Amino acid sequence: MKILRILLLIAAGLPLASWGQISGVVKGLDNGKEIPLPGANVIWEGSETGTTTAKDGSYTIEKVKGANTLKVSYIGYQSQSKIVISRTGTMNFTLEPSGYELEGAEVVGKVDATTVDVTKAGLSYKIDDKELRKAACCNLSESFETNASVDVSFTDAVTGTRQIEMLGLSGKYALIQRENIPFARGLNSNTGLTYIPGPFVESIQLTKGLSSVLNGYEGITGQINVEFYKPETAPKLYLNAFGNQGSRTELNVMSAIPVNKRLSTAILAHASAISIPRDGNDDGFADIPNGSQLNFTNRWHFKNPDRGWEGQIGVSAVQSKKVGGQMDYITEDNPGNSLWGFESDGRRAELFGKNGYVFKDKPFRSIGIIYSLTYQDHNGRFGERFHYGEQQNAYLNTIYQDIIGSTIHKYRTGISFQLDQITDRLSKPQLEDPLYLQKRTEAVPGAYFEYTLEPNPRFTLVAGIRGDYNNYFEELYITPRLNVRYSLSDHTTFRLGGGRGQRTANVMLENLNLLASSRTMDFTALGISPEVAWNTGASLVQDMRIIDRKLTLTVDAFYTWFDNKVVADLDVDPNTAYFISSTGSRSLSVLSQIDYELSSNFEVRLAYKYLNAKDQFAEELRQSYLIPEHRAFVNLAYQTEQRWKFDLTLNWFGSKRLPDTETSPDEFKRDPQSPGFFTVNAQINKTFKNGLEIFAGVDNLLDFRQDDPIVNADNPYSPYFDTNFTWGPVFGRNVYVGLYYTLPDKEN
Amino acid sequence: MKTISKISLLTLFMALLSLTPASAQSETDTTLIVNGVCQMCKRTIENAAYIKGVSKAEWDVENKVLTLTYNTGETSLEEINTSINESGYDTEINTASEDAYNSLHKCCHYRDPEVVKDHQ
Repeated sequence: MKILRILLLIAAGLPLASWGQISGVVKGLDNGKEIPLPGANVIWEGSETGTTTAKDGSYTIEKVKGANTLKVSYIGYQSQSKIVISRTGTMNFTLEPSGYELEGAEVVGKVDATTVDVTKAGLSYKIDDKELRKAACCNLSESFETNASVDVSFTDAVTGTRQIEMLGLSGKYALIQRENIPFARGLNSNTGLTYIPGPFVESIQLTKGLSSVLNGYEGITGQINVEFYKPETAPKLYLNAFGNQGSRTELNVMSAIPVNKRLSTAILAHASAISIPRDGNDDGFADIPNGSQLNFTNRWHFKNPDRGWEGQIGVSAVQSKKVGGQMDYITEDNPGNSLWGFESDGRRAELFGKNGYVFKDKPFRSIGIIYSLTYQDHNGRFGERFHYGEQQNAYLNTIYQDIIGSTIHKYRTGISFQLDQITDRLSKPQLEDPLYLQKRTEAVPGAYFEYTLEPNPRFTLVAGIRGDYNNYFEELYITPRLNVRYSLSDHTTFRLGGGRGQRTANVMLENLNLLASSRTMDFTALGISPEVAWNTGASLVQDMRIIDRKLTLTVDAFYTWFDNKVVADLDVDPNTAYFISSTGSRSLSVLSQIDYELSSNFEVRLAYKYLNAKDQFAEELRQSYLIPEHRAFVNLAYQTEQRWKFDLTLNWFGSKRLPDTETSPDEFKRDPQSPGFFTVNAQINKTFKNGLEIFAGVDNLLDFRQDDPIVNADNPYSPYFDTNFTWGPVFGRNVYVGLYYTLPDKEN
Repeated sequence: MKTISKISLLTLFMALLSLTPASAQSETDTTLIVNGVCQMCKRTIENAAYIKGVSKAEWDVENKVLTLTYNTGETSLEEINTSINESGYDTEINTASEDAYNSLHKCCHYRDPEVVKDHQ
């Protein structure tokens, strides 16, 4: 604590000196112009002494003993701190517009950066748009290519559905949010990732392990929060086009329009299609379904800096259609019922909004409110079985944030309400009764309290608890969570965390991939209680210098244990999928990652992940399906002075366990373990000065492919037909090209 | 400026105390806290402090203390302080001007908490 020492010196050395005043002017950058900011908060960090700027942006503040960091914050701008050791003098501030807007979890985080962002106490990564452009294609499910914490794979060989894996568990156990509003949950846990076009995304915050109780009780393995481009900061016009060898074409358009000083709006639109079916492995089935998708988002952002108000409201809609299955089913106009076909027709509409109020003179005190209303439905056809899913959701969360005495003790508290009306129905047209039907209305009012202790910059403790009453289970659930961070030095940080997570399973609609088989669905061993898990984790982040270049080593370990989990058992009988509720499924995940800057424009990332994911199946505890025990990854990124970027990713996946086929006839038997394999992706980007960036790349450069992803592909309407043995790429080498265009700002 | 004159008076007072009766010389030792972060800062601060009449100026990057020896007949702490401020550095007494601070190399931007963190 050098600074303390200095202050002690000052205090001891000059006991008679009177303490002076610092004055100055606070300005903000508005479209490149400096404007004075009246009513901005000026505060000595760690003290209660603060003031606000006058009409012309000027301020005068008494110098406080023991305080040496002057912090200025203003709604809509990034707060700024300056270290000031002088007793008298001038200190002017010029604030930059905030890169991100009001967020529920961080209503004050932006206004007052000392407020602990829970991500500080938990292990979190930020994936920004530069990182996202390293893997240009296409939607959120493909955005984690250069991140070793999250893996994405196809659930089966027909539907083209991608699922993420985090800590050895499927994506539905992670909390996936769009700007702190729950996004990929329930019906959307299957489709949610593909419903977010990559070019809409400004950044992703990825937090491993349990996140804040503020966000609800659901996320167990981690939190993925996606930030779209904002009306206040997005370019006036932004275009993205993409096309690949597999006939996938995409177009994204974005436009931000400032209406006046206080109001701005942005429109984001997406259209994509896959129009030509391809059967690279000659099994009669299209490798990926044909289809099209349309997205539209419009939102309005308003702020009233004089009064401390900020808010936004928006609408979002998605429509997606897919046709897959046997090649003839796709190409024929009237395919009839003898061919095995897959169809998917999904729609989603959402109204969302946020409001925040920051108290004048007290930047640490604020109120925030987040709400959304969504309707989503999905019609699916899987051969002769039809699935209908529908979800209506209302969500409300409130956040009150304040300090206790000083900024060492902070708290956030609020009430929340979540209402879900869900229909999950599986049927066959020739049968009168559905094969499976769940219709439920689940209303969950809840309340939470989270305390943050930050006695010094090296230590943070976040302890949270929430209670939620669930009318469907008629029970009150208590969710405790704790995260601790301790920095031994500026180069070594330890983190520890743990707590409880819970979610309500939607049995059929979360396992649609299993319908792409001739398996009978058996629900007799299914209990009626929510899935409950405990998660605990520890991590170490170590920075060091090697040959004068920064190297960051991250090691983390997480253990998840289920009190109750819905497990689909495919081992007992190759023609049945048994859904069972069981206790004791667990997952251990250990990741070590090295980030090293070989030179100022050449970065290397090496990662190794060990996953030991086990599910409690009907008979015994066994390895989970399709989760590799070992996984490694190398990413090389090189950038030239002439704005060329080269990116190369090498992936290695170890052996994965496949469903048991011991009792199948010989021709339908599969090895119980898949072979390990490598994939290589490469991409080149070139940026031009006029706002144009072009890219070309290749996925699966080595052209490695799983030859036989479908069991009994020749007779899809007879027993043993199964597409859930997909352990590797179904697609071979795939070349793509595309461009980004950003209209340059005239002011600059 | 009141404060500064007060401090100067105080310094003068302390300087007087430190005068040894045997010596006709008015050499005085004192310290001044100057904010800075690196070796480049050290060079600038010390160069700025070496004005006429100063025989020793040594700044410690760890505790930010500038140890000075100067001849009170030739210069004053106020003058040394002004010279340091003009070179772009804040002292415990006064801040440097915006322009002087901005002219420093980026790595010397000691007011920026991020820069300070990078140097630790």
